[in-house]
Amino acid sequence: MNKSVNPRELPRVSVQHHHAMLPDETHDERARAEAIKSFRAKVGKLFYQDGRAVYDGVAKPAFEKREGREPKDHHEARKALRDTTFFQTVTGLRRVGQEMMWSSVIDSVERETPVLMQRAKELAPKNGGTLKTDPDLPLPSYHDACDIHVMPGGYHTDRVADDIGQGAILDRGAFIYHGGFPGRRFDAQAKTSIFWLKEKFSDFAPKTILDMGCCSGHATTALKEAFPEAEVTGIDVGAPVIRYGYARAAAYGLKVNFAQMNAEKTSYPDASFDLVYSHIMFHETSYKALPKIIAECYRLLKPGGVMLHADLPNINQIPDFYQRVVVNEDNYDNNEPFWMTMHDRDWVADSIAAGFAEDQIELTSTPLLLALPPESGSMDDPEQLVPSPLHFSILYARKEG
Amino acid sequence: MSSDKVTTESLKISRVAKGKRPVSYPQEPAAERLLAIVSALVTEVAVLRDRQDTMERLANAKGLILADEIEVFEPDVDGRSAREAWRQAYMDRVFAILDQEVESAAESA
Repeated sequence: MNKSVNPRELPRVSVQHHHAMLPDETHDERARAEAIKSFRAKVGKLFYQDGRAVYDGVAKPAFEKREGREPKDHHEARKALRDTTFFQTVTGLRRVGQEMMWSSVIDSVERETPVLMQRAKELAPKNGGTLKTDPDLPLPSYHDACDIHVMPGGYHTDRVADDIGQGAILDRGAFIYHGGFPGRRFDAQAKTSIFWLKEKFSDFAPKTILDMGCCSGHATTALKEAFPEAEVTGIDVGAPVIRYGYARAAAYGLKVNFAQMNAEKTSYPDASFDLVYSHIMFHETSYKALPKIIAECYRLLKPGGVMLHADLPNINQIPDFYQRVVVNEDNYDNNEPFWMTMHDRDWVADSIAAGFAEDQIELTSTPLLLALPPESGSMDDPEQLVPSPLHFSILYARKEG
Repeated sequence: MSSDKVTTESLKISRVAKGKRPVSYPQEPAAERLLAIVSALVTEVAVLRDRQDTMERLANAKGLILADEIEVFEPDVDGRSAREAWRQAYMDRVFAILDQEVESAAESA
């Protein structure tokens, strides 16, 4: 295994592979995307790394002077930090950077929508799989209450019939948000858990795979490429993102089904899938929805089938208060109401309640992979995947039979 | 459905996300506006810089070194109009947060 690499020390930064469903951008739109990436990277360093000095040197001492003791948890640590103009400004900049990012992406998508709609029509017959939208599917409250990660319109908003806009906004915006670290197809994060599974169970050859909360299909196509013989299906509550995902998969020459469904309760019969998977979906659901999703996974699995969910690390397992504060901040500033509170649920207990045997459940973590572009800079040459210091949580369970 | 009258050509996608916006400066609400304005400005300067860089690289590739001519250049009537139109759109972008506040106020009136 390669030595862990700090993202700021990476010599080369990925460029997004411009597949047919991504909007064309003007020179200045491309430049703006780069500028916003750099803006966010600088603010990110100030926040995740440099700000620790402000906590240790200013915020914590001020708290101790006032209260006569150290902060007892990360809530108190955050309150102490909120008294500093530094933290106020940097958290403000994080929010502004996020808003500018989506806004700049929307510029291209808004203009290019007629072209993208036409391309989606031309690509659709080339997928070979099925696409099923359901206009009567009720939108879960956790998608209606606010636009998750400040993406205007969320995953679900259709502004015209057969809209694909939200899928395009997510595809381009998320790439910029992550600074290119998940690689040219924005799938190195999903590959983290997929490769974990393949390494742990090299004999596992699922014939049917369900990707829950698939959005624009980044993890879904990664699953299809990892298990090319399998029938792969992505589901999401949003119609525009799966229409986009269906066309995007076709653009990559991949046969992938997409359906508009709620992971809490799908319309598939019992025992439909060998592998039920999700990637960074849990934190975008809710305290009530999570156990229902896990129960649905158990119902959907064939005997001997596998449930695999990957998401952000548990701050309760981070010893350092400053680290907890910064990892949790999206809960306050980025429209992520369930960001870390997903870990307040006992995922193992929920899995047992769903029907999985305790000795068939594993809750673990694995280093998040980053994608390094090739030295040639050519899209035809392969990326290199390297582990980063950040760990993702993994919930694994195997159904008996 | 409100999207019935929207054609793909007339499409306008909102840049504002649903959900309460966090307060960064509890004691200084004006600072919130300034932060957004300045951040947009920071970004646009970098965009401008990239465009300039593109021009110089293209010119050099064609064997043109433009520095002296740049110093004395004046745009014609069309050039001045085009620049003025650009600046209006630019100022809209830089001050977007204030336009959003106006729109929000108008909606709740």
